[in-house]
Amino acid sequence: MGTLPMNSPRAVDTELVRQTLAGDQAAFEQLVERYQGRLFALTRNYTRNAVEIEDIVQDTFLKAFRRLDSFDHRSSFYTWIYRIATNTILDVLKRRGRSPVQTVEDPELVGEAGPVDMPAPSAQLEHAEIAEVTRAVLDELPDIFKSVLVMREFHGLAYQEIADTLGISIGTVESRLFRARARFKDKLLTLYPEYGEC
Amino acid sequence: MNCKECLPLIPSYLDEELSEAQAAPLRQHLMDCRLCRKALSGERAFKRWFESEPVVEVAVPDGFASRVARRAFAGDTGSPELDEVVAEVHTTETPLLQFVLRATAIAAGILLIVSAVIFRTHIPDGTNMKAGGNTTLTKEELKQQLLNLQDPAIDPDAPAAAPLKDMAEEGSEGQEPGPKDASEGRGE
Repeated sequence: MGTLPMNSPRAVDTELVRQTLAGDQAAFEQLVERYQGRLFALTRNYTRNAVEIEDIVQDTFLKAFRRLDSFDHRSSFYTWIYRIATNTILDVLKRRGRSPVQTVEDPELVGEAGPVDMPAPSAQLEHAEIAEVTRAVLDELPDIFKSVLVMREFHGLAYQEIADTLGISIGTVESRLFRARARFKDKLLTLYPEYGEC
Repeated sequence: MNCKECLPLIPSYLDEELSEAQAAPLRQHLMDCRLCRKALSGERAFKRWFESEPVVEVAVPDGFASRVARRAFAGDTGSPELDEVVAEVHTTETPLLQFVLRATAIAAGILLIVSAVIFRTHIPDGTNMKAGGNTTLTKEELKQQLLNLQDPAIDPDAPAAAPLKDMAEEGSEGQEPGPKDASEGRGE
C-alpha cells in the first residue's frame, strides 16, 4: 500500500477510498478500523444485543463497500457511512417488528403532544446515572423517535442532515423531534416519577 | 410575536436552526414574556439529560475489520438472511397497493382493447362520407342531378322553403296523440 498523506482525517479517508476502489483490501480494512468503534457505539443506541450490533455494523460496511464508487467526497466519509448505518439499523429494527412506523406516524394514534414540565437532572445525580436514565427512557421510545433524538441530541446533526439521512423533509424532522421530545418527557416522568420533583 | 407563535419555535431556537430574522423577534418576545421564558427553561432542562451521555465504549470483536474487508473483497453483499427479510418486507408491507396496481394495469389493458374494437367497428368508412363519386361535375350535370332528385309534385321554381313548410304541415296532421289524448283514451 502506498504512503498516505499525513494531513487531515478527511484527506486520509479520501486516499483510503481511492486505494480501496483500486483494489487494495488493506485500505478498506483501515477504513473499517477507523470507524468501527463509532458505528458500534451508534448501533448500541438502538439495540443492546451484541450479536445484532455486530451484524448491523458488518452489513453497513459491506453496503458501503458496494456503493463506494458513488461516494462523491462532498461530505465526510463518516457522514456518508453514518447515513448508511442509520438506515441499516432502522431497516433491521423495522423488519423485526420493533417500530410500526406508520402507526406511530398516524397523528390520530399519537395525539397531540402537550407541553410537559421538564425536570432537569438533579445536580446531585452522577453523570453515569443520568446517562443510564436517559438510555432507559430512550429504549422505551419507538425507533422512529429514538433515531431523531439520537441524531440531534447525541450526535448534533443539523435538521437538514437528519432529513438527508432519513430521506424525509425538514418539516417532518421538526415535527418528529417535537413528538419525540414530548414522548421522552412523558416516559421519563412515568418511569422515574421521582425526577418530577427535581 | 405572540406566545402562540413563539412556543413552537423554541426547540428550533435552542437547536440553532432559526435564521436571524426568525430568532430576533423570538428573543424580544422572550424578554417580555415570563411564560415563554419558562418554556425555554423547560427545553434547556430537556437537553441536559443528553449532555451527560458518556462516550460509550463498545467492544469491537477481535479481527472484525479484517474479516469485513475479506468478505467485502470476496463479493459478500451482506447478510443474505437480512436481504431476504428486506425483500419480504417490501413485498408484504403493501399487498393492497400491489393488488390495486395490478388490477389497474389489467383494467387499463382491457379498456385499450375495447377502445380499439369500438374504433374499428363504429368509425364510418371515409368513402361512405363522400357526397358523390365525381367531384368535378359541370354546372349542367349538377342541374340534371338536382332535377332527378326533385319530387315531381314540387314546382322547381317554388322557393326552397315551400317543400319544408308542406312537410311540416303534413307532419302535424299525422302527429301521434299527445299526453292529453292518451289520458282521454285511458278515461274511456
